Amino acid sequence: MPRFIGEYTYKDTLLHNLAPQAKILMVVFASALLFLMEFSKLAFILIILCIAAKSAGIAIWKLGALIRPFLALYAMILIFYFIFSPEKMAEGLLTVFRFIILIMVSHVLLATTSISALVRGFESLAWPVKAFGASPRTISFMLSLTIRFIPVLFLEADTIHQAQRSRCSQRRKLRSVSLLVASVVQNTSARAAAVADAVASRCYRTKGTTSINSCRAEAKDWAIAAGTLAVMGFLLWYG
Amino acid sequence: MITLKNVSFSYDEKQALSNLSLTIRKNDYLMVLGRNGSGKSTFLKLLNGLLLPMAGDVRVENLSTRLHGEEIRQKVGMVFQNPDDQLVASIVREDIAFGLENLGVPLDEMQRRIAAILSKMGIAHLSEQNVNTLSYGQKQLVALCGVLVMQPSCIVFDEPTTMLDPLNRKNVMDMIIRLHTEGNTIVHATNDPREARRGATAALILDRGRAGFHGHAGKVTPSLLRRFGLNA
Ligand SMILES: Nc1ncnc2c1ncn2[C@@H]1O[C@H](COP(=O)(O)OP(=O)(O)OP(=O)(O)O)[C@@H](O)[C@H]1O
Ligand SMILES: [Mg+2]
Repeated sequence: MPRFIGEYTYKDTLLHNLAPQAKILMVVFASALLFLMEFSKLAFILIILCIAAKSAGIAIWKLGALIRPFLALYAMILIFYFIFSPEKMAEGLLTVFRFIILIMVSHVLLATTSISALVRGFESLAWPVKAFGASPRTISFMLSLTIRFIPVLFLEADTIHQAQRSRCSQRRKLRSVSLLVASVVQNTSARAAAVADAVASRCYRTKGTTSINSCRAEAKDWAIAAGTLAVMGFLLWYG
Repeated sequence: MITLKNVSFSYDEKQALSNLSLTIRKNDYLMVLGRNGSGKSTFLKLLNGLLLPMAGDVRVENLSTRLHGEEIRQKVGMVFQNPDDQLVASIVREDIAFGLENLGVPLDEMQRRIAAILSKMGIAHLSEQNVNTLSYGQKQLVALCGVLVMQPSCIVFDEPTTMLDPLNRKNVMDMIIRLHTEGNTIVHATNDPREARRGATAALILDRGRAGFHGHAGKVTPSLLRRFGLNA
């Protein structure tokens, strides 16, 4: 599993309580700004990000640990620069640095926003979707269901795999792979039927519904987002 | 509260229930017994209109499941065997909200009802937890909360304890009996007759899609059970 998913736990902090649509817009614009910045400014942003993370109860070492999974990618970028344009090595380093910060920003977003809040945030930003006749409730329900079942399916595949390994000899390894796929898929369609029954039993509908995560962004939320972006913009042009 | 009249149901060619007629009265606790494949789940799904009868009629408070499915599903809640298949959101509180969102319940009332049901079930501390971190027993309680929060008057259980360990099994059973005492109508399918006998007032034994026995729960004797191939 990607380490980003499932890290969310609610805490009563400014970042956790910020409306998701404000957070999403902030992250999108901040990411764009990042790509216009140089080392010293990026370093400054990194410090601010660390303070923000700390205030949201995220351990700084966790941000640091995010560098590792993509180490190979960073190495590759640097090697390419080294081979094809060694005179632009600094630019390569800058690219890697931006990438690292971008991942940290996403982590802070995902660690402070529940998936369904994110989904609803997108939903309220993506009102054009409605123009195409798709029900936002359907879309958000599908997304949240997918996210809910990814870990379950992983776990299941693992259990089946282990059960089969204990039955099958090494020689029949190939066959056991196809068995694995078959049983996961079969299991999944039976499961889909069961989930559908439960969803229908709970009166699923798409019209006249309400939402527990009312994510009305208030002036305060937009002010915080705009303020952050303004600071970044100021830093970029006058810093 | 629920009446079945000459109800038959088949999947494709396979006849799963034939010519079943019975009445479930208000505040009954009906236990439904039968071997694997005898039609228990099919019977239960007919009660809230998840399945519609091919012949005959199912009526809940005099509304036909054919015409009033949505309304009936509010009155007849359903808890299934595998808790994993009943939870649709990743956070406990959000999952319990699912049914209420569908009914269009306003936010403040939604929050009040969720908090009340969580504390009634003794799992208020799990409110913000990710469902993937819960035990099967806890998940089943969350699933039950998701149904109860919609305030159904009848709750249908399809082998609700099969996947649970003995302690959680007892927890869930205690809760079912408590719901019955509080005035709810209970329909409880199980493969363990001893389990439901604790609280049941009526019993239905299904045998290859037919009602082998329907009557007072007290009349379910070991010899009767053995006649239908069930463990006494
Ligand atoms: N979706 C389906 N498609 C085809 N046949 C089905 C389907 N669901 C059930 N059946 C068949 O209908 C019959 C009754 O099934 P049902 O699930 O109601 O039995 P059950 O008493 O609940 O069994 P169990 O104790 O295993 O849960 C069985 O023979 C079964 O094979
Ligand atoms: Mg069944």
